[in-house]
Amino acid sequence: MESGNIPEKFTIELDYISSDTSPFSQETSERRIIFHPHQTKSILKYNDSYQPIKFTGSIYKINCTCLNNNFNIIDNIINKKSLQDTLLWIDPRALPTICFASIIYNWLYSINPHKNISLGIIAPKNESKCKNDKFLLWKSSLSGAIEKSKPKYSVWYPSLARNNQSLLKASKYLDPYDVYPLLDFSKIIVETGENELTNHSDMLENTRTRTRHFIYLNSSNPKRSFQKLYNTFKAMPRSGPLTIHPTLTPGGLTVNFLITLLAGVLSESYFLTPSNEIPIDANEEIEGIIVLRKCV
Amino acid sequence: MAPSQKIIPYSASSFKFQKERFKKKLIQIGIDISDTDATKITFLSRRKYDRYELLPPGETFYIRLLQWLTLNFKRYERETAFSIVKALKFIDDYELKELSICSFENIKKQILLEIGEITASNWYSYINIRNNILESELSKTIFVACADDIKFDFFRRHAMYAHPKPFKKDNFIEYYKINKSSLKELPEYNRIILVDQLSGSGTTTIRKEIDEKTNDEFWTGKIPRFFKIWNGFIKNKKIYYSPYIISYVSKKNISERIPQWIEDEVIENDVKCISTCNIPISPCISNKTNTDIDETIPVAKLCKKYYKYFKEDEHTKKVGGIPYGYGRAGLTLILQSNCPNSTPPILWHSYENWYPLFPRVIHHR
Repeated sequence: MESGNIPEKFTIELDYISSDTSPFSQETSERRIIFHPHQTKSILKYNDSYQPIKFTGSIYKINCTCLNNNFNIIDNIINKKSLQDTLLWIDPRALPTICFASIIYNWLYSINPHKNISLGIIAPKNESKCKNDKFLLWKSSLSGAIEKSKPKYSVWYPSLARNNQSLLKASKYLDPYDVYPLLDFSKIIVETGENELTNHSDMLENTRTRTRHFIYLNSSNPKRSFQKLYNTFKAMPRSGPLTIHPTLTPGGLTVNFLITLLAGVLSESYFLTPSNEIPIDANEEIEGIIVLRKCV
Repeated sequence: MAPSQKIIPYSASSFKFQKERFKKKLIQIGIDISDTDATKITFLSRRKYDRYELLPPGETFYIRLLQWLTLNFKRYERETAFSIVKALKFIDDYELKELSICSFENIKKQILLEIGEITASNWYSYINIRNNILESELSKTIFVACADDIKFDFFRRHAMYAHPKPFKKDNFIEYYKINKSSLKELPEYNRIILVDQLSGSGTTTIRKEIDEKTNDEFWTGKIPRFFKIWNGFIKNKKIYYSPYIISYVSKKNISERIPQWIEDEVIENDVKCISTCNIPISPCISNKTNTDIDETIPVAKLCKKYYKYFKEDEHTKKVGGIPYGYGRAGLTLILQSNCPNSTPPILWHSYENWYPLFPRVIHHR
């Protein structure tokens, strides 16, 4: 932790289970949360092959944070029955990036670490669907996203899986102090993997990004990727004359997208993404389960 | 760009300047290059190729490439020779370090597969049971380095940082050729992982040879040699051969040879190969499915034509020559520390005044 940052009284732990079904018995106290309007069946177009995760606990349908600045959404669920030692299941499919980030933020601030109420987040397969629209700089809050103005010093973590022209534009807007590009390592090591890197030569050369700054994210080891990113973002000084804002543009494989987003929200970082992006299609198959814990 | 204008090194303007100069020079020597390819190669030469450890200080890939093309090839052949450069796969030290971590994680996955299904009443006990079993199994695992260039120090540090409880220093052995008396000091183990950097053709890993004196066939290579040295210490242990990088040819050869060797030598252990990065035969030299060398395509013809300048040794003679890389591996792979011999020799040899693009240090054990 950088001097000046207040040490927190809890730690965040992430575990990853590589399985498309839950490998453990579910308890009645577990909750699956469906967010209206994004995950309401009537507006989703599912394929015939679509399979939701098998779930035996209660299902809660609640309004998303984006509806009328609805906040404390997680609070309302856990306080109803004084839940303890349980898992809240969240499916990020069909959720806009901003809404998913806000849901995680709500969990972070609603959960007492002594109560052990963790999140079971479904991690779908394949690439996230990134848009190339105008990028917006924002930060998560209990009631959605707060638009931010360009900080004086920002360190940018863009996923190079995104479109090269949109990242180039974003870099010109943000004018970052430093850039740490995020690369999907499983793609880099295959034959044509370097294309992901060379496509962004203009942006990387313009920002004079050093090769040693490249951050490899490994989709087969999300736990390590999370620890690496979360610890990095948390270590940045957030007060005093050397305030630096880590700014994230997640992308690439869905698992890496989710890990970057989680690390960013939990460390209260900024995001630079298209405002109306829905990164994960409702029909994507499940790759694994992320279990996120807030521990004492 | 006006000559008076100063180009600041490692800036965007120097990149554009370098790219334009590169394109111009290539056109001068008879190579038509697209702007996309020029950008890609200029970028990779600044970021990766210039860091090839066997280049003398100050020498750059760009200068070396021009020399390689003009000194070795006739004008009409240069376009073909250049297509090998477009297909290069360069793994730098950062990537190799990451590969070492990925390999460790791969091994953990394999151990979890061995364990099989875990029954738990809820998610919390599932995670606890899984993590406890994994840690217990890791403590009974010995990692043995099969080569000196696998960043084993980094591998060990990552393993011990990620899992501080189960490991002792003796869970990691620097080389498989070890004094037998030291083997008695190892912690209790039920699994040995032979960690290697690259298996290009599988020949160094496992092969059958003929004894020149007796004319008898015998098995040799890293795996059979390991069994000879560790004989008496591996009964009922599971053995995994785990190279960071494996070629298509090697994977095929190893999967065929291990069962034959197990049968011939009556091996009782469970021996498996688990690799992290699988590399096919380079598309510039292979058939459509990247499963074999296509000797009719121009790059393959060029490799064959200039093989006459390559000086064979006992190892290359044994496999009938290596115009497309050792064991017909057909890789266009370069590692930051050295160029493997599974890559065609026209890229790396220096016999008969041949000018290598990536000079290589030969290290046959």
